[in-house]
Formats: sequence, C-alpha cells, structure tokens
Amino acid sequence: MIDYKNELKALSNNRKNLYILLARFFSKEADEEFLKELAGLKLPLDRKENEIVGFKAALERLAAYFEYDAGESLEDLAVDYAKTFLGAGQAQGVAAMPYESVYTGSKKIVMQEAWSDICDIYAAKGIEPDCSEDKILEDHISLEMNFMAYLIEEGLEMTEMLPSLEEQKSFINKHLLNWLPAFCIDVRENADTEFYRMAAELVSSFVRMDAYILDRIINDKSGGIVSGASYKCKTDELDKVLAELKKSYRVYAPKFTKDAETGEETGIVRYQEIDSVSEMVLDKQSDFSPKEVIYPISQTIFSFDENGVKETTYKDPKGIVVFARACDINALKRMDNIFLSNGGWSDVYYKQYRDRLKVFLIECKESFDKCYCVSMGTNKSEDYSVAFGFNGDDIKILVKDVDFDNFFKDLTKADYTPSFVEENKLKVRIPSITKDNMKDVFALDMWKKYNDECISCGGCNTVCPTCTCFDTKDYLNQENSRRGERKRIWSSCMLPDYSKTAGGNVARKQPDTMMRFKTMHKIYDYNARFGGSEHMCVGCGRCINRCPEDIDFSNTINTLAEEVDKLEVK
Amino acid sequence: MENENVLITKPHKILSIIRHTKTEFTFRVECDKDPDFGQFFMLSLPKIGEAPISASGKGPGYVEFTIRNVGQLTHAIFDLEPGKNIFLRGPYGNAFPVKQFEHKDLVVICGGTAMAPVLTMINHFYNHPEVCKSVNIISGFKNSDAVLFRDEINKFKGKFNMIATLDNGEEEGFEQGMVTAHVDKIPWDSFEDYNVVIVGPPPMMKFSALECAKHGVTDDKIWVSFERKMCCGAGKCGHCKINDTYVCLEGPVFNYAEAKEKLMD
Repeated sequence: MIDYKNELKALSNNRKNLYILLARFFSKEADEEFLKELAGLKLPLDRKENEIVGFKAALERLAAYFEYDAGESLEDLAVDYAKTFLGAGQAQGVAAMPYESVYTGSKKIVMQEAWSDICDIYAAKGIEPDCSEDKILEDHISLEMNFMAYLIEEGLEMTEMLPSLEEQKSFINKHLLNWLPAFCIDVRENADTEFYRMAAELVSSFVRMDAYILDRIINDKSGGIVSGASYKCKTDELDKVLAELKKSYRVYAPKFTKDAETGEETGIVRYQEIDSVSEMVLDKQSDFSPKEVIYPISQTIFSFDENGVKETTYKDPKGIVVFARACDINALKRMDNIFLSNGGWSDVYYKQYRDRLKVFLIECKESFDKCYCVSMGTNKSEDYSVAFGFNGDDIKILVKDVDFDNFFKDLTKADYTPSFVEENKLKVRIPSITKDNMKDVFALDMWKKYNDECISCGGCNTVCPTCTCFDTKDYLNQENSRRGERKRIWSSCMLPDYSKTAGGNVARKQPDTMMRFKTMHKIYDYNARFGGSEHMCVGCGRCINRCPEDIDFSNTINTLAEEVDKLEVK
Repeated sequence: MENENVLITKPHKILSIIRHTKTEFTFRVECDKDPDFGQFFMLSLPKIGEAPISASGKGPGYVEFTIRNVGQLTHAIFDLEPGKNIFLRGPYGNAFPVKQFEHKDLVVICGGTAMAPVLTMINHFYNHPEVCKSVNIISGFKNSDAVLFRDEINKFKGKFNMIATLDNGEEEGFEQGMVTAHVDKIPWDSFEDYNVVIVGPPPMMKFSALECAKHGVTDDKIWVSFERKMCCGAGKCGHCKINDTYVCLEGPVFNYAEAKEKLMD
C-alpha cells in the first residue's frame, strides 16, 4: 500500500520536473544555464513506455546533440527562436506559433475558443499566469506545460490522487495532445537549428508518453476502443436485444415497485431488473437512485461463529447493466472516489459490483421539475457503454463499447448522438466557502431554522445517489444461535445516532448541525478533499422530492451562497 | 489500490483480564501486531458489533485494551473469560509524534479512561527516562471508585511529576478537583521547549487547552486525540468525518492548532 503510493509520488515528481524543464524551451531564448541543465539531464532510457512513443529516440537525439557539437552558438539559437516562435522578420508559413488557438481554430490565429477555454481553466484554479512581461498569451505552450506541472503538484498535495490524475489526463487529451503534435511538426519543418528541431521531438514524444503513463496509472477499465455505431429501432426490436442481453447481464432500469402483498403498483419508481422495455418508467424521475444496484441497502459482509468469520463474496457470473441518466452516471464517479480510492484501499464489496457494471445512458429530453444538474456540471456524461434516446416507440441507440456491438448490429443503422439538458428551471450558485471563512459559515443563523423544519428522517440520504455512509450490524441466524452474519446497512448523517460514540457522546445532536454537516459535504468538503471541479451533489433533486417537510436543498445552497456573500461584504 | 478486505476481522485469544473497577477492565489479547503510540484497533464480538478501541499496552505477542463498560459491545466483552476470543482488525490511524517529543519537556493531561490511549507512550518514556527532559502527568478521575491504573500511577510517581486527582471525594495520594485545577502545578517557567498532550472528552480537552493558554502555551504545542463513532476505521463508512478530514485516516491524533481550525462539528 505504502510502496505503491510512494512510487506514484516519485513518478509524479519526475513528470512534474520534466514538464517544467521542457516548458523552458519555449518560454524564452536558450541561455547557458538552460543548456547546462539539459546536458546534465539523466533519464533512464530503458523504460518500456519510452520505446512506444519515440521518447527514447528523442532522448538519444538530445544526448547526441551535446556529445557531438552541432556548431550552434547561443546567438544562432536566439535568432532561430525569434524566427520560429515569434515569427520575427519572416513571412507567414515558416513559423510555428506556439499557441493552442492557432492550431485548433479554423482561422489559424491567436485568441480563439481554445484560448478562452484555457483562461477559464486557469481562473477556476485561481491562477493568473504573468503574460505581460513576455507578451505571451495564456494558451502558450510553455504556460500549458507549466499548468500540467501545477496539476501534478496539486495532485501530490491531495490525500487521494485519483481525481487529480483524471484531471491531468483530461487536460492532456483535450488540450496538449490536441495541438502539440501538429505544432511540433511545424517546428521540425521550419526551425533552422537542430536544437529546436530536437526540442520539438522531445516535447511531443514526452507528452504522448505522459498520456500513456497516466492511462496506465488510472488503469482505465476497458481497452478504450470505441465502437461508435448508431442504430434506430422499435420497442419490440429492443425487447429482443434485451432478451439476448439478459443471458449475460442483469439489466436494471427504473420501474414501478409492487406491493408485496397485493401485487399492485405503488407509484414508487426504483431500480429493478426488467424483462421488457415497456416496464421502464421514463416520464418520471426514479424516486431512488441506481446506487442500490451496486451498493445494496443491506449487504452481508461475512458470516461468523465464535471461532472465525467467512467473507461473503459475490459470485454471480453475470454482468450488470444499468439504464441511468447523466446525473446518476456522474454520481457513480463520486461513489468510486469514496469506495475505491479514499483511504488508499478499494472496498471489496463495492468493487465486486462496480467491476461488473456497464452503464446505458438514458438521454434526458428535458429536465424534471427539481433538477439542477446544469448548475452542478453533471448534466452531461460520456461515461457510458451504450446511449439511448427514447421517443415513444422510436428508439435511437449509440454503441460506444465494443463489448455490445454484437447485441445491436442487426438493427437499422442510423445517425445518432445523445444530447443533454442544457438548462434547468432550478439553478444553484455554489457558495464561495474557503478555509478562511469556514468558521463564519458554521456560525451562520440560517442553520438554526432546520431545528424547526427538519424532522431528522434521513430520507434525503436514502434517495441521494452520492450518499455512501454505512453502519455495520450483526444478525443471528436464530435467537441464541452461535452463527450469524455481519451486514452493512445504509446510514444517515441526518440521524443523531450517526455521530454517537459508545460512551454516549453525540457530536451532532440537532438538525441544524446535521444539515450543516450534510450541506458542507455535498458542496464543499468532498471537493476540498478530492480536488478537481466536482462537488458531491449532482443536482438530481431527489432529496427535494423526498423531503416530507418540503425542505428544498437547492434553496439551502442558494441561501448559503447569499449568506457567504454577506460575510465577504462584512 | 490494495485489495485486501479491510472489514474482515479475526479471532484473538484473551490471555488475561485486569479488573480495575466494576466498569473498567483491561484485556490482554494474543496479537503479533505492534501498534504505534495512540493507534486504535476495531474490536468486535460477533453477535454484538464492532467499535474502535485504542491500545493501552503492548508487549511481545500481546496487545492490551482498556475498556469501559458503557455500550452494548463493551457490556458483552465484560462477560468474557481468558481463553475466549475477541475479534480484532487494525491497527489504524496515526500516532503521537513521539520523535518530536524527544529531548523536550512533556506534559500529559488526561481524564478517566482517556489515560488508556496515552499509557503505552507514557510507559515508553518510563522505560527510556533519558528520552524526555521531564514528563509531567495530570490524570483525573471522577472519584475513588473510578480510578484506573493505580499501580501504574504509583509507578510513574517514582520517575515523573505525576499528579492524580479526583473530581469528587478523597483518597490518599490523590489531589482534589478537576484536571484544569492542577495545570498551574506544572513548572512551565522551567521549560525551554515542550509539548502538551491532552486526551479526554471534548469539553475537558477544550478547557484544559484554555487553562494551558493562561500559562502561555500556544495551540501548536498541544496534541489531542479524537474519539469518534466508526464502522470501518479506514475511510469508507463516513461516521468519523469532520469537514474534509477523516479521523480514522488523518487522526485520531491531531495538532490542536490544526484541530481548532479545521475540525468543527
């Protein structure tokens, strides 16, 4: 456990230092000091990844540059730098302008969409790169590479690195790799010195290698091969597909529950196995989230007698398919962080389900009444195997995961990509809570009213797709039996027992403190711990629908945002 | 990610039982683990349940737990006899930064059963008296019937500035009053560099720290240990979370300057 963490830390430090060093190629003309640093660079050439992306060849070229004098003076380098990267004194076409906008926009000029994206990314992190001195823009290669170093450093400071790694991967894929290879080709073709041609190869292959390393670390579940075939069909055709699927998967979807005694529908929609497409409830939000499929309300963790325990393992050979909406797919990521990453170990029971899970996206045609997913940034997801657009009897399908190609390949081909809800009636504004104003946030009067309004039923926790807390409890097979089992059962931070120690001390006794605890967890603590831009709350609004006292959580968030604003004014 | 199943607990034989009071026993349990000073185990009895308990002693092949009979689990443990099994997993959490205490003066303030989590550390300094410049202990109990570790206390008096006190009642060798009433007996003026360890119920820790502040003790010199409900002990069940901190992972030992700022219920 410790070794893996330390190894990851060492690797991250090396990656960070290389980003900083290689960014230097482009931040200003080369000088003695930089050349010295490059000449002294010692890297292991025998890493497997080096070979794959050509980084090994680039490193050999770097070594050769210093071994055999290329006859390039500092002045030569400065002239080439100005010509190639600043376009000085040269006609267009022979320069390689080191800006993302130039390579990603149709106009091939600076300050386009990519530039404004980058500015937003820096702003979200509270970074203001100093661009004035060297008259460069935010999407300059050296700044983007230094930003990668910043992200890596941020990850190193976090208790849990996984979300940061995801963020790094996303930045590489969306930005650096989106333009760097083309830029480096331009440098290779236009630079007059071997120094900068070599630099282009070095940087380009390094970033590709880093993407490879990140991928390996994150160990993405599937091989990442995307199918991309889309189809259309009618309900009866999909039923046939479903019948085939059910031979290898348990297929869960939102469905009305039935009264155990009368067999009549109760009006409550929960995730259950389905036998036909018509059982799916699509015009109403499910009352419970899909989390109960992979994290059961009550789950045996082991059986015991006086002499020992026996772990309960999940042996079902079938996979699990869940039809889920974008918010709930985003919620899975939050659950993954707690169960697979927090504390540095993976929860075996959760993992058994999670590793079997394939997600089928249900496209939301429009938002339900209490949704505020757009405000939480959870209205979209690309994390699914197959996407479905249901429109009465007309169904459109996009298969992303090659594992499912065979099930759908006989349907009529179509052109379909799912769309996502872009606006909700309910909107929330995330309060700007910081470590500095936290004490004042805790002392706010607004929490008090929950002592009158909240009845501590815990219903909000039950329906929440991201509440993961549990209790453990022992059950006997029979009264006075020596054998029994320990189960874990969903817990609720809205109940006083949640924080009660054996000695009877209760950390949070009243609804005001419990509501504050829950609110902070959902919109501040989780983010403070795991980093990135995500909050735990995904804005599904189920807790609003569930609350018997009509407490509206979107209202709680907005009121808090206003109160925090007032604190700042003071 | 490590894939060991943390929640699985294993039987350990009870070697002996010391009955301190009617409600407070120390169980010596067969165990090869070597917990660091202040770490805890998840102790359980099948049928009854599981709870976090600090190790109060350790030696070759055994670990000791001092347990107060307050809950369902502890009640059932009190019916056990040597030879029977207690179930254990752990140790978990961080430890008191003992290295940082070396060559300095040390003050330990604890109340009741809270002496248990600091006892292995105090014994360590007792066995290695050259490590700290001085060790000063204020240990409070409700009354004469509630006194724990009488033998240890008498033993510590031989080498340390050991102040044992009773909130109510009298007994020879014991002062009277709450632990806070004795903070002024610590020779603060003679200290150059020192650390203070405070362990007990939340109000006791708060008021002891306030009392220390009167003698110029800054929060960063104080170390506290938190007691929380836990169902996993390893960052999943959520019960011990305070703000963005998990007591089971980043605690139970915290520097008070950090705890005061970051850990608010």
